[in-house]
Amino acid sequence: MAMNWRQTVVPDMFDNDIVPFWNGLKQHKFMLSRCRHCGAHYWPMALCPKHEDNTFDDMEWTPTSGRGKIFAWEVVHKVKTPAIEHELPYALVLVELDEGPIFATRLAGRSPPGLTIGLPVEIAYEDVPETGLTLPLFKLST
Amino acid sequence: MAAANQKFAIVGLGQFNGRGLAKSARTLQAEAARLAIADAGLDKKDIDGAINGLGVGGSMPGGGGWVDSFSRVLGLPTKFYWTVARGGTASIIGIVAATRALELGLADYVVVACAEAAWSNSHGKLATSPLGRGRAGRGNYSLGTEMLGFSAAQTAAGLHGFFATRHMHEYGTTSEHFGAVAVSCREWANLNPTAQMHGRPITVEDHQNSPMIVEPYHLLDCCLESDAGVAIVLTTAERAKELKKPPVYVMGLGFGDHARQQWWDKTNYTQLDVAPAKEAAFKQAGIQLEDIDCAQFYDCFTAEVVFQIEDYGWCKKGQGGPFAAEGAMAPGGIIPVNTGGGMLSGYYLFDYTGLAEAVVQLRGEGGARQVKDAEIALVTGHGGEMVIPGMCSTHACAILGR
Ligand SMILES: [Zn+2]
Repeated sequence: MAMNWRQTVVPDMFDNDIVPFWNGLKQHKFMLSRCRHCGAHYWPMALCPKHEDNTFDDMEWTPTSGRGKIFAWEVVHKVKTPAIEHELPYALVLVELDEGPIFATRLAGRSPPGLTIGLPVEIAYEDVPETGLTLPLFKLST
Repeated sequence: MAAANQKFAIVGLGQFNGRGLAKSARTLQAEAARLAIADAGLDKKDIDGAINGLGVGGSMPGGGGWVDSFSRVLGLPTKFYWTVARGGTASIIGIVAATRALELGLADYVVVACAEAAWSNSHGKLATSPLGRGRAGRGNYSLGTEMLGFSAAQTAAGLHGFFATRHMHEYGTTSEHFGAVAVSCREWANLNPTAQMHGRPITVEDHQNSPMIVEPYHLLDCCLESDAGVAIVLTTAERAKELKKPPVYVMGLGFGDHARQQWWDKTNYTQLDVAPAKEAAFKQAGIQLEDIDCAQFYDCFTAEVVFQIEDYGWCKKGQGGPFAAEGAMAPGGIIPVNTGGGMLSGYYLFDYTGLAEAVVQLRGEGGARQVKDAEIALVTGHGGEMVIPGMCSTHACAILGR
């Protein structure tokens, strides 16, 4: 029996840099890494490139809006794993978040018709009880 | 013309491709190296430097462990054996390393080799091996979001499609334009008996009717899966003159890497980082665009060809689609592109596919697909971490000449 792909996302996959992001999701918070100097946001963690003298201590994870616009999209029609086939076709999107960074994710459910660059989207938290994690899927804003 | 003032040359080439070769990638790599050494008219005992230029660097994705050395398999008496790679820029990085080693006097003859059993991995009895999961593997660096659909897409198409939709959005490029690239490469493949898709002509209509894999990409927008091996032998220009085959000189090498622009400046989604690579390589080679007789572009997907034909300046930015539709890259066109069929119709082996074809053309060994009087060839590589949104940020450029 093939495993539901949602259950294959497990904490063992995460490196230390990304753990705060996933901990935030559990509380339905969409965390980005923020620069204490200028307020610019990044995902995943990075040293704000706008300054010469900052350090990683100048970056902090902070809850954000979880909203943005489609920056690029594609629709998956073919997969190799039979366990995923019943979900086809589904959309993958690059979201340009309102706070700035680009976040790559999947739209919940089947691909909606008329996908286009610029459409507003927002976080659609999907809890996975088997793993205790919450997945950061997105959906079209209504 | 190119021969004056050149320091390093490719003097041996081994290449083969197929489906179901029933060998490990290690053995295929050793076989490619053996062929290249023989092609140069050298003996194994002459080879004192070896470079493993594979698409992945270090350990294999999925925990495949250490990569065994092909020099061990062949019993080469080398002074060094290095692994160098960054995705599909592996051969050009290998040439950088090899030429520097020659310059330092670390070796006299260096073999750079690559092989993959990608077709067998996904279709054959080896299908459970780590690489058989497709090229979506990301090594050990994990953001933990891969499973949100990207691994479910399971192929590099799911990672490259975004760039195509951006180009369509910004410039009005159409799927039929991408189809014209596929047709162009197939026309070349039909002149190359060793191409995987030789004898199977296609039209743009066939492209449109081929199954949708990851919209906007149809099946015919995607490169092939192949079992393949390529190796080259490099030496100094001085030594090259004494050998069997006409030397193919390494005239210029350049790189660009726009990871920062992709991730943080949110630019460069409809182009590759050609500008710095082109500037460096063309300057070293002392050439202009019009000096190039054929271009061997990295064509993992059709849009990458559109990007590069624009980024190098054969047409205006955004006009690559119409340029392809006019047949400008096809046999008889303005600039012969991917004259062996490329990875779309020839075989897949990172930037080695284009490198090998450039050597064939510059030696005049192209048969029915030979570009008349080919003296200077452009080869490109495209690679990097496949962690979206910053994906394949490296562009590599090599100018070869005779
Ligand atoms: Zn800052």
